[in-house]
Amino acid sequence: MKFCTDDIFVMGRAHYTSGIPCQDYALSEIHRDGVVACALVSDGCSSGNKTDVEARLIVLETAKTIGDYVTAGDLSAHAAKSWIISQRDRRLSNTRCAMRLTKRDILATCLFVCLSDKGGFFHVEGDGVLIKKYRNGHVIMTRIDWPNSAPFYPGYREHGLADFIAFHGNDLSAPIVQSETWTMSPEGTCTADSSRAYTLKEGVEGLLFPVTDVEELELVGVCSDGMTQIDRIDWKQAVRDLIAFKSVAGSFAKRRMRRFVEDAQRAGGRGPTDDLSGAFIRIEHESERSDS
Amino acid sequence: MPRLMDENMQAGVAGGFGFSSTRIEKLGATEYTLVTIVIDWTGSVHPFAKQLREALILAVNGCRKSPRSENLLIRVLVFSSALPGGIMELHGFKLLKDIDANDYPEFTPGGMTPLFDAAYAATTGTIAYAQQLIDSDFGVNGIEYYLTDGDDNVSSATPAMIAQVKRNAIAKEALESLVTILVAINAKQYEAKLKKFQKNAEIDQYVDVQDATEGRLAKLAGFISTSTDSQAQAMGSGGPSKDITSATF
Repeated sequence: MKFCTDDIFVMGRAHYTSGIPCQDYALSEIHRDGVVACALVSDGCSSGNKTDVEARLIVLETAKTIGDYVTAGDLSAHAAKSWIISQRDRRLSNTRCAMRLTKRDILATCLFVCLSDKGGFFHVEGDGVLIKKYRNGHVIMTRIDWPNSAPFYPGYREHGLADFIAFHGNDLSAPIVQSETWTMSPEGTCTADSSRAYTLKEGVEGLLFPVTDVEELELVGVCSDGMTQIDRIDWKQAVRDLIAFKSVAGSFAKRRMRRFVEDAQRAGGRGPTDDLSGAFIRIEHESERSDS
Repeated sequence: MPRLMDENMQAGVAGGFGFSSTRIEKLGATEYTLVTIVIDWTGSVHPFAKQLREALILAVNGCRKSPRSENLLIRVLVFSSALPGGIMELHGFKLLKDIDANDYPEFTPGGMTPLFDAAYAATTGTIAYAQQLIDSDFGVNGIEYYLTDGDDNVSSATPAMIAQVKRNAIAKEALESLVTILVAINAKQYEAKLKKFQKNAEIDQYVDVQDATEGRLAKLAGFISTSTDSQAQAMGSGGPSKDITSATF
């Protein structure tokens, strides 16, 4: 099994026209000589301050921490998540302090997926889209949304968690984090799979989605919620188009995103309204590599 | 005996002429500039064939200095009626890292001048490969240099055909832009005919190197690498490079 990764982030029209920097960031890495791969995105809060900086810091720090973890253990989801998030938050706190970031700066989501040949997991702090494409051509996509456009940001653990909880009704057991999962067939037909509401407590702790079927997978990816705000394009269609890689060497995601945005604009829309980021891990299986 | 194809390369046909190019699955960047250098190999260039080869080596190696050097795919053609079909690829579209310019063979010019065929072969090859790249989500533009010391006298293709194929490609957005440059070397007596060719084939620029001295050919090499860099940096702008260096020799 061989992992190949790529990532891309683009500025949305709203930020382009208002002069706000791109507040999305994406990164993908391979660790331990190809044994583990990770893909990460972050989306800074538009109404925050230097949240573009936080988006970069949180992704870089999380990726580094994943790299450190994989030298220490395997990717059993719960144990890995606990270690990675606690270590990352500790280091990030030091970095934020050194950079004198304020509570209005440290507002950015963090979504990632990490994989080894034995499995892995998605982790969601905030909102966005998770993608799994199977070797048989089926795609499972999960969208996570928070009410009132107020997703959880890991930075709240450092400043403002009580206010955030109060904003969302002060009831940690309230099922407010919505997820909807759809399956897309190879022919492009979408079927609603399931929808589920996670509690505020679960959202604050971070949502964990183990991956146990790596052998069946062709691609996994995470995208920011900019995926759900593409002018005139439904988010499921956007996912389908964005992962329809025509060639898979090198910057496969960057090429596809570039063409996707051009096509969206050419079709009369304006393309991404919000900043958009995606990070992907392609899985090349031994049988496919020997056939090629 | 057929040439053995490098396993990274693929063969194609465009405009009735064969061309080779790097397999798409070997390309990792998001965009490329397709560079074609077309060189006169007819009998009249014999006196300066060595300098012409050195200029080619200098030009190709000069392209390595470009910040966009990893986004260049370079093809080199030579033309002469003494060659089978009038055209020969020294190599197809290759990344700079896959080209050792010192491997260019000694030039053995002879025969008459299928200049129009060579320009047509260059342009159709560029457009065909560009379409493949575009279909695979790559961004593409191109630049072609036709180096000649004389007017055409044996081609099947016409200047109008060259102009048409380029117009069609731009209209279809087969590539973002294509800049074509006719370079006259030691060709003062053919200036009027070459400028007529430029006009009828809608070639973007005419450059007169004048005498084929070592110094002027070295300057030509610099012009080629600078212009190539300029076109490569114009990628994404939606149009050709606006500031192709005006050359004085």
